[in-house]
Amino acid sequence: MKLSRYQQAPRSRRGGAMVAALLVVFAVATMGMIHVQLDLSKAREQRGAVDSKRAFYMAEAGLAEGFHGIAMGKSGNVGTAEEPARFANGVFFTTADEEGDGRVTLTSTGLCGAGRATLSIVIERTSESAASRGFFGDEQVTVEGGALVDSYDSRVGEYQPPGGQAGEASGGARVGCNGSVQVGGSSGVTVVYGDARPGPEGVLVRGRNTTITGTTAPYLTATALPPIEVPSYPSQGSVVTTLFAPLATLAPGDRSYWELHVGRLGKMTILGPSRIVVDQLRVDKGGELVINAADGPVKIYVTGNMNLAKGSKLSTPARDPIAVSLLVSAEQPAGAIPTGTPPPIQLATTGSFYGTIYAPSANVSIPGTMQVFGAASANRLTVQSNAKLHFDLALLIAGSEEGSLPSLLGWRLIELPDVAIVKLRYDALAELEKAGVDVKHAKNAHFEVGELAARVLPAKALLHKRNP
Amino acid sequence: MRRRIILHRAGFTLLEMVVAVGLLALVMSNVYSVLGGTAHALSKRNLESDADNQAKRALERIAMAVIGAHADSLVPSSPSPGSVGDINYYEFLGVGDEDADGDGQNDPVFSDPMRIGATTEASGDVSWFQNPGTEYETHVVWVKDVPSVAVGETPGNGVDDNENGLVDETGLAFVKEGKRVRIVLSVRVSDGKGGFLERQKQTTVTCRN
Repeated sequence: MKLSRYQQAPRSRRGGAMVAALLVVFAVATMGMIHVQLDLSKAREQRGAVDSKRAFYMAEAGLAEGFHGIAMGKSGNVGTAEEPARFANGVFFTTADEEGDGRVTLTSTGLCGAGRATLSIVIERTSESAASRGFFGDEQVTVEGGALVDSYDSRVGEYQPPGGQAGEASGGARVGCNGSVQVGGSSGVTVVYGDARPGPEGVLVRGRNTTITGTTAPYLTATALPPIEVPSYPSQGSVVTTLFAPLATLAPGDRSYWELHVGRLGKMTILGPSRIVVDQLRVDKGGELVINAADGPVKIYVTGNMNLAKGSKLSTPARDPIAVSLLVSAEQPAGAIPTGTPPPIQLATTGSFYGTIYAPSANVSIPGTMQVFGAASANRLTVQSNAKLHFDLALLIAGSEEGSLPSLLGWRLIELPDVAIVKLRYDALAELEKAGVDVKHAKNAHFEVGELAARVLPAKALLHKRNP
Repeated sequence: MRRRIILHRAGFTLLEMVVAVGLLALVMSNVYSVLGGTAHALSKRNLESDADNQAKRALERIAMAVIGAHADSLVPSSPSPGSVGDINYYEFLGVGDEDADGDGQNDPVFSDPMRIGATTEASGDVSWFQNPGTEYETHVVWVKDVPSVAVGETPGNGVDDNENGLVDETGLAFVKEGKRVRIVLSVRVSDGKGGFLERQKQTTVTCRN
């Protein structure tokens, strides 16, 4: 049998080169692996730093979204810890907590990849609209004995008397003046569920049996009541209801009249959206003026006199204080009014008025037969005995239509909240999508005022499974 | 007969050994060179990376503190090209329960005074201080290996040697312009062989308060 040269080599030499080669390869591979591991570790570290930075900006975006929501009259809550809002490749949720005095704390948590950050700001609503001042007088405010002043929030629901379901909101009433404020008289129980604040030089005079639940600290500065800018429209003459033609309806639109006069047993309806400029507005005893803002806001500018006589009726069926405005630009004559000359404003009507009354240069006296849901500002404001005024907190932000934005009081970085989604060490957005959660875009994740509290949030099995 | 010839060829000739040893030496030197080069590169890269990360982390930490500071409390104010090596500030903590100014609204609450700057002149460390200069002073070192003079800068010549817009700046330099603060941080890390690795990072942040 013939053997090859290799088969004849000694056993000790077989595979020797292979072993040496393997050793070298193994050493090089080990070095390579270490290198790769180090690189991966650095990359992870860098990705973590990038995620943290993105989460920070995500949280900033959440604050901006909440701020925008408040400016638009929403609650400021955007998304929830269970159902956060999507923003680019991350998510955030923003909570808004009312601190009183128009201040709101917004807390936003941003999540991006493995990064998490929580930021908080305190903002103050700085609406300068006249309505946001509540019941305000330039020279003097008098709340007579037996009157009630409280508040409610039309965005949350209908008015509830103090102690009712919405009783928490009743303490936000605002009575204020650039001069002095007198609350209460010698008879009756007078209650102001909120603030009663005189001007910097004014004083607060309290009568017997008077309760004021809020602050009575004077304002540090006076607040000017800006004059009314009356728009100019083509005149339509006068509209007068008579016994033979007792009904009149003013269609939506902008127009001007010399006189609107609702005679005895007459009824005049003004439909919104409209802006009406009128020199004389009169409603006689037995007549009714209906301001219907169901389809849009109604603004009535009175340049001369407004006389809603005793026994007349004023109604606002839409029950939306933001939508109805009575603006009287006439000036109160200096000194005593001569006999036979009517004052600019005579209010002796009956009914519930949902809206705002603004008469910066005239005196307004709200009768005990009237309930006002909204706000009123006048040169001198008198709330007669047994009158009931309910300040609508929604008017605090109604100034947004005038372009005013909340102001920032402070910003800070705070600890992450103790919620399941924050404890996840994964990409929250990817996990939520895997779990079939419909993650809404930020602009669609806003909550209206009162909406979040009324909602029962579903607990996500995903989050509880990951974090028992 | 054939078997005898095989037995005579069982060893190596001198020439074979010389060639084998030569080749082995060549291979080993190459392997050593590759491994050594790799190790050196790895070490250098790690050092650079560590220095970068150290500077980046410290800068982010300082930036976050400045972002949360009250802009009016940031002193002293130094428009570019002048800069300062430390910064004093207060942080906004929230709205409290008191109305000290009597405006009918609760007042904002701010932190104790704080400072970011060199721990001591010769330390080469940058610290965050609480209640600086008082008996209640505490501090935490935030970053080490910060030179007293910025990288590339020659001190006291009144010239912007490193062309970053600042003249004779220190290792940690702040420039405040309104609510914006520019922060420049240098680190100088020893490579363990008598050399140093230098890095400079900078960022500009806006105070939110």
